[in-house]
Order: sequence, then C-alpha cells, then structure tokens
Amino acid sequence: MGRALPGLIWALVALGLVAACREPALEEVEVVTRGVQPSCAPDAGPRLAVDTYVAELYRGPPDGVIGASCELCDDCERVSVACRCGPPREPETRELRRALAGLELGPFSDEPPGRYCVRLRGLRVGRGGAGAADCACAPEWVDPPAAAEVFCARSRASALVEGGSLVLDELACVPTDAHSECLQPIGAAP
Amino acid sequence: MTGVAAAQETPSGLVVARDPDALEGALEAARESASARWEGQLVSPPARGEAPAPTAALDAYFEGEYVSCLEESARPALQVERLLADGHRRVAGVVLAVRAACLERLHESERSRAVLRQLLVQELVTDEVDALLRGDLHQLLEGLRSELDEEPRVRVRVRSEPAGARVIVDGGSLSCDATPCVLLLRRGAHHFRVERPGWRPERGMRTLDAELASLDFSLGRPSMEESRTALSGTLAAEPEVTPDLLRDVSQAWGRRLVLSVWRREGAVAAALYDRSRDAMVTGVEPDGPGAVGLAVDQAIREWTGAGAPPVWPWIVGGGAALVVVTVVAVVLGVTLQPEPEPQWVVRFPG
Repeated sequence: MGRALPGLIWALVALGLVAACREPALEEVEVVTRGVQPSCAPDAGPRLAVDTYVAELYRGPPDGVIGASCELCDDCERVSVACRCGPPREPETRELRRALAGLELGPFSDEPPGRYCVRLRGLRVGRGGAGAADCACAPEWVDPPAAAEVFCARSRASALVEGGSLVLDELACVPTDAHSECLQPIGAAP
Repeated sequence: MTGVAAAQETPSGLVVARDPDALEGALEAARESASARWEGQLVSPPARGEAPAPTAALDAYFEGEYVSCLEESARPALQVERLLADGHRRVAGVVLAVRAACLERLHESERSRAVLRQLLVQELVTDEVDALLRGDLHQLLEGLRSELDEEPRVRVRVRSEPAGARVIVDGGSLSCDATPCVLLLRRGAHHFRVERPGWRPERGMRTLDAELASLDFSLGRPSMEESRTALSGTLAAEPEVTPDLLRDVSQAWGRRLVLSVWRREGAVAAALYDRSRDAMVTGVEPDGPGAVGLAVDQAIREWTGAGAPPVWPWIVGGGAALVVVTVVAVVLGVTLQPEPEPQWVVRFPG
C-alpha cells in the first residue's frame, strides 16, 4: 500500500486539476450604440470633444419596477465599471465606436438572473494620449465637474441573452435635461 | 532474505543430486543459508537391466538345435516387444534374426519370411544381423527389402492426451519430440512408446496396414511413487534441468523449493526452482573444492534477489491508477459535476 501511495497522490492531484481546470462558459453581450447624431455641440461654439469614456453596468432585480432605463431603480447595483482614455474626439457614431471598440464590462455572474442597464458617459478631462486604450477609472470621473461632462446615455433595461445586445439609443449631451436625468444616480435611493 | 520472503512461512525445500558428495555439500550450503527447511534426495537412473543376451538361442542355432533355438529365442526376457520397450534394439534384431534362421532351417519358410519382414519393418538390421543371415537367408532378406521399398510408407498421425508427449518408435528407430506429430513408417507392426514427464508412459505394438493411420494415446497420471522414480531417473540422466522438470519434482515431493545440483564439463551447476514464483535461478562454479557450496550459494543469492519485489509493477500500477482516476474524474466532472455558472461579458464591439 505504501508503494501505491505516490500513485494515489498523483491521481488525487490530477483529480484536483481536472476539477479546477473546468472553466465556466463565457457568454457575451454586445453594447450597440446608435443614434449619436447630431454630435454634441452647443448652439454656438465649437463641437465638444471627448477624451474619456466611463461605462457602468447596473443590475436590477428580475422582478420589480426599475424603469425602461433603470431610472426607477431603488435596488440596482453596479456590477462593473470600465474606462477608456484617448485623444479628444467628437462623439459622432463612427468615432464613438472606434474609441470604445473592445471595451469590456465584466466578467460577472448573472446568478440569479437580473436585468441590466449600461450607462455610458463621455468626459473631457484633458488626459490626451495617442490612441484609445483601457485606463483605470479615476474616482472623480464618477462624479466629475460639470465642465467635464459632454454626453451621457443609458441603455434600455434588458435581461442577458446569449448573443444578445444592450442598446444605447441616444446620447444626451450637455447641457440638456436629458443629460441631467441620465446622470441621476442609479441604485439604492439615498 | 527480503522482507517479503521473511514475512512468509519458512518454505520447505528439497535438494537433489546424483552423487552423495554433491548432495552433502549442497545440503550443507543450503541449510547454512537458512532460506528454507531443506532435505536431501539422492537421484539415480532407473534400474535398467542389462540387455539380455540371446546366447543360448545362438548356441542352439550354431549347433543345429533349431527347435531348441526357437524355444530359447522365445524366452520372455527375449520378447521383442519388451526389448524394444527397453530400448534394446540390437538384441531385438539378433533375436529376430536367429529366430528367422532357425525357422528357415526347420522349413518354416512363411514364418521365417514374416520374421525377416519384421526385422526390416522395424529397421532392426545391424551388422550382427547381416553376419548371422548369410547365404539364402541373406538373399531372402534382400528380396524382402526390395519389396518393402516399393511399398508406400504409412503416414501415421500420432496424438496424445495430454499433447506434447515424446514418441519413440521401435525402441528408437524413429521419434518425434512432441505430439501431435506425423511419422512415415513401413507397413506392419511397430512398437510405440509415448512419454511425457509427469505422466505415466504408454507403450505397445500397433499394426499399420493402411496408407493413412491415426494413433491416439492417453497418458495417465502416475502414482506419487512412480512420479518420483521417473523424475529421479530423469534428473539423473539429463545434464540440464528445466523449470518444467523441477516443477514436477516440486509437486511429486510436495516441496515449494527444489535445488538440483549436478556436475558437467568441469563445472558444478545448481538450479533452484521456486514453485510459488514458478521460476528457476541458477548458479555455476568451476569444479573444485567447495564448488558445490559456492554454486548453491550463488543460486540462493540469486533467488533471494529475485524475491525482491520489482519496482516496475508499482510504477505501472500507480500510472494505471492515475489514468483510471483521471478518466473517472473527467467523466464524473463532465457528467455529474454541475455545470459552472457561465460568466458574462458586456462588450463594445470592435
């Protein structure tokens, strides 16, 4: 028996490895941006450029009222935040898609299943940079000064479906009521 | 002694040798090794009687006493079947030749012719026979030989139960090493001896009168005493022992170990068979003072070394266990383990 012990140990190790190596499946949901026309621009003056993007993913309960775009969430929670930094660009559709390409929120577990909203905000913080890249989200970007705000958009609340999408319909640019509404906190009421 | 061997009960062993000195030396060396409870057994060739001489029959023939010649040649000791069974082919040939000559002189031509034919069929014609059969008898013999040469030989298929037995025809004119086998023989009566170590031999005359023949022999189990006698003879006669032979000895004497010692070509050899492993190890030393003890020591050392359990079974066993457990784990993981919760990623398309 003593001589069989090494074999047994190896077997247990292998068992552990097999168990540990079993990776969960990774499901993907796309964020579709559309309707970013016209570009954010004050009535008078130059168009506003964006150099920083803050994407937040909120999760609401599967049942209960959360609103079409999580505007009524009382018990939503933020699941993930990701930031993308780059050179200043006007947030029109093509530039926006190029700047945000590949930005990921997650991975996370949808257990128990919930409904999700994405909020995307465009800021002008003067970071600059040669090309768009993921960057660490600074605390002040969550509640930036008004001067930095350029646009905000919320997706429609949706459950996650494999191969599905979350749609960002319209960007609400500053200074508009829609933008202010978009910036309203999401989640538990203070 | 290895741990495994030591853990077992002290085995019983039998030392066999052909001469008392070798037996004494081997027994002493084996007992000194304390490897087993050893006993000795001197082996000797079977008491094989001297070939009976047909002197009286020959004397009677040369003195013209042909009736007496027939009587003398018909004595039980000179029965051809018995002579062939004991391998005394030369004497059998002389007996048949003198009987044929006496019959011919008694004008028993048909019977004489039959005996001469038997001489040829069983291939017992030697120089002595030729010297005895002169003149007309010689011509008769050659005439019969010509007739026989024109006859097709009989194709004989010999089988035995169990198979693998040795077949000796007419005391040694022809043989095959292991049944089943096919022999080509002249038509007529032949003596067959079918033997296999560990089994009681079968022997007897068989008459072949067709072109094709099939002979079946069933070997019985010998008694313990018969086994021991036969094995003792085999051990004494064969210069080399084999595991099969020592296995039979081990069973016949009821010993787990058999240590056989023999001298050959200036060397002393010792072979140790262990029934529990069904394996044999040997030791060989140049003959000389103490050679028996050294050869025995060598064999016993080899045996105790061989008794160490090899490592490879553990490696193979461990590997096999690893493979099995891994496969089981994979199968269980795939089939029984709950599917891990999928992870989700929300991505902006590129």
